[in-house]
Amino acid sequence: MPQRNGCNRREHHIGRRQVLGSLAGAAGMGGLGALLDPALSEEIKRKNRQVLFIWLDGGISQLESWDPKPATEFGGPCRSIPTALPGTHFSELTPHTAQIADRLAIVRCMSTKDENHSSAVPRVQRGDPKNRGVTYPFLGSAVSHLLPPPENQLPSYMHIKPGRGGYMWKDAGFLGARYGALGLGDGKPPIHLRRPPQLDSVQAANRDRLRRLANSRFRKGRLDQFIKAYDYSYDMARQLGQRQDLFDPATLPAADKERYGTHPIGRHLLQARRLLEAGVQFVKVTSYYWDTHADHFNMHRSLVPQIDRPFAALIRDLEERGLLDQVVVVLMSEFGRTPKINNRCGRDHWPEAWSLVLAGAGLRRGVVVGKTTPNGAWCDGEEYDVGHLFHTIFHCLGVDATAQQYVNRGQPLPIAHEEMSVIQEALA
Amino acid sequence: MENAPPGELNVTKTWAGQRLEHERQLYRVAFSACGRFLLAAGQDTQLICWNLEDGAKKTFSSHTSWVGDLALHPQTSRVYSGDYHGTLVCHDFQGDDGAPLWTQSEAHPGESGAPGWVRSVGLSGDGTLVVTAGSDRVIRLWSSEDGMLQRELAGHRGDIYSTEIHPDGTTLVSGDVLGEIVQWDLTTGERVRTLDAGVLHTREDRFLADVGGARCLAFNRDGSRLVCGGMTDIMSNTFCPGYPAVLEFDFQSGRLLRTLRAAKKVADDGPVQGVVVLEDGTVVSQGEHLHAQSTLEFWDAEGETAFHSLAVPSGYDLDLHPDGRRLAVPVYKPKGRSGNGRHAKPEEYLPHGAEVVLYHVYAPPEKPASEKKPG
Repeated sequence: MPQRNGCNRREHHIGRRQVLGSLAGAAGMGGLGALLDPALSEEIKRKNRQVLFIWLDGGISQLESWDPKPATEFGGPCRSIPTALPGTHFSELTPHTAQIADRLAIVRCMSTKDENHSSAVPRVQRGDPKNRGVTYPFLGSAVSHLLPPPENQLPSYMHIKPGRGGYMWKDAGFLGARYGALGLGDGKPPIHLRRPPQLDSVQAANRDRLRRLANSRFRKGRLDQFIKAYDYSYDMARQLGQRQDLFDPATLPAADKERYGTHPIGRHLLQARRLLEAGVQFVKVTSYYWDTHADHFNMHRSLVPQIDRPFAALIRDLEERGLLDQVVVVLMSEFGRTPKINNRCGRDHWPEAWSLVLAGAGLRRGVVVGKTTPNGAWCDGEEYDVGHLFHTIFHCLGVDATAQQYVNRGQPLPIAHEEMSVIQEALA
Repeated sequence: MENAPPGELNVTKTWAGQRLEHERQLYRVAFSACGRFLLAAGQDTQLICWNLEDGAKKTFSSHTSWVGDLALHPQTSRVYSGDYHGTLVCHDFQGDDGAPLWTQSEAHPGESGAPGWVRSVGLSGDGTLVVTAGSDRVIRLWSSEDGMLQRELAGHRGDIYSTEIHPDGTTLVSGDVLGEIVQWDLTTGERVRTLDAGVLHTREDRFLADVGGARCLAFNRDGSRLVCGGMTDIMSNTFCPGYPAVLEFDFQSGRLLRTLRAAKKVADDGPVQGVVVLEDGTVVSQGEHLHAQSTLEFWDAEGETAFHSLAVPSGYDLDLHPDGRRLAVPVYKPKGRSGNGRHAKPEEYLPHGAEVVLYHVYAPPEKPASEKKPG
């Protein structure tokens, strides 16, 4: 039985011809915005929406970044510094991001449930839906399913990460393998993208026929899910093979490399900018080793500047290119770190009250959402969970999470936690 | 027992004596030259001074951040302390008003995004110079009298964690996160040579940070040996687990003589945070352990494995009393649980405290007959 994982989305049927038809009928009547049917205009805007999702795996400390509490019982040794947002202070470890705080929505009242990585990482990245017996997609897979596909030949969900790359089909959950992520190990494209020079096009075609033949034998006795994953992986790699230019370090200005830094996070965020400029719909950048249970202050002193500088550079670059109106930027971890300092001068996992940073399309610029108690340990007032975050991201992408549903084998499923809603204060 | 005259050195009979409590974690301790006072500092920006004879506790509140290190003048009652805001302060710990004698608020100013944390404070042998060093990788020499800057010693490539003055009074060694130990001539400011303790440092691309380093330094009595504490074989920058170690160098040749290891290997150990050399050449170290329990380790002149080990709470420093018979260790004293998540109501969620424990490295005196149990 053919799988139907999806919904009847109108935008799937909007094509270039339809837009041209709409334009033709209104020729000579002013600018593009005026020409288009408002609903169609909105659809086009949505088609261009993109996401940059920066994941600091292990948990950046809110106290050494976006919600400092200097000179308090749990505040640690760092100072706080003023930011471009009057009255708002960040840790002294983030001077570059402090200068662009007026472009950010800083949420200081995240309160989630999981205190362990193994459960928190997938739960947070899947939006913490209610358990309905299915595996929900990670945010990147969800977005590439819910948004209309961009009109480029690039994989819609790309994941820049340390270590090895490869096709990460499990991200897609019940949506099916085609919504998985193409992992770019160390930001580099899949290996063997380029056709060997000694192979002409006829030989390449013959080789591809042989591959297909082998694949048809390989399919026998294997699950459809796996086969699709291999197929999509290959297709994506082939598509990407046409865009080698996106990965050529020689074409990057030296000044950009200097501004972003030569460490992995800097290089990966610069690569993310290139992918966003090329129109990739969802770019995820992961950095590992933020889980500083020991020697926390020395470690964060090294780690935080590595995200501070390139992140600020990236926000400025997106703004300069006009992309900040189009890209939703999320910078977060699976939780924060304990206010209490342990016996190894470390901070442990703290889901009770932590911070994340948003910027870009649909988001208010220069706002702090929520607050924590004077010692930083608890939310003081409104608390938000990951479900609220997913509602907010979807809203910024033009997806109404209260109206739209997934349909998985006939079962309707909410795309974000149905008991939660958008973080209103963060919205433009 | 506490006030009895110390006995003959015998580390296998080491026993814990006085316990000096504080409500916040302490990371540094130092005995006064007269031996009657113990000073300590850590998380809560205060300097704490205990009179060891009557237990009286006095605090000085001149810092605005954690105190990274402190050192006491060899002849006077002055204490010099540096903090994580780059400030160096001088107090008279026997003074009445608690006000600083002088303050250098920009001793190690650091720069944007890289604050100047003072990690080590020491004094030249004659007490005229205060030596400070930290995360800006520069050593600064100050007049101990008025706090005026005398000299800067630059050249470390990593954050400086430790300094120590040679018994000759004018030779300085400094150790950094990369495991580089640099020897300096304090009279000329000349960089003399470098000793390699790189085995105490680990950096992998995936870590995103340098881990480990030359955490503590000490000379033996005649200055012929230098020991340096830390850990080797570090596995990550998260729990920072490694294999505690003390490197012993022949100071004249700079040759590594021994790599001293604990009597018993425990998984997930932290670094050696304090090391001293007793008058008979016995090397003693204090470790910081991940799971709250650590050890005092003792090495004689032979072998690389400690011949004696004493289970103690996880600690962060080690100082030797002028009488050579007492060791002070600031240890962790839990208030409620550590670990992930809250495990407590907000009103019960409190910062951990500390104790400074005095260990006596000789056989405990016999109890008077009146205190002995009958039979």
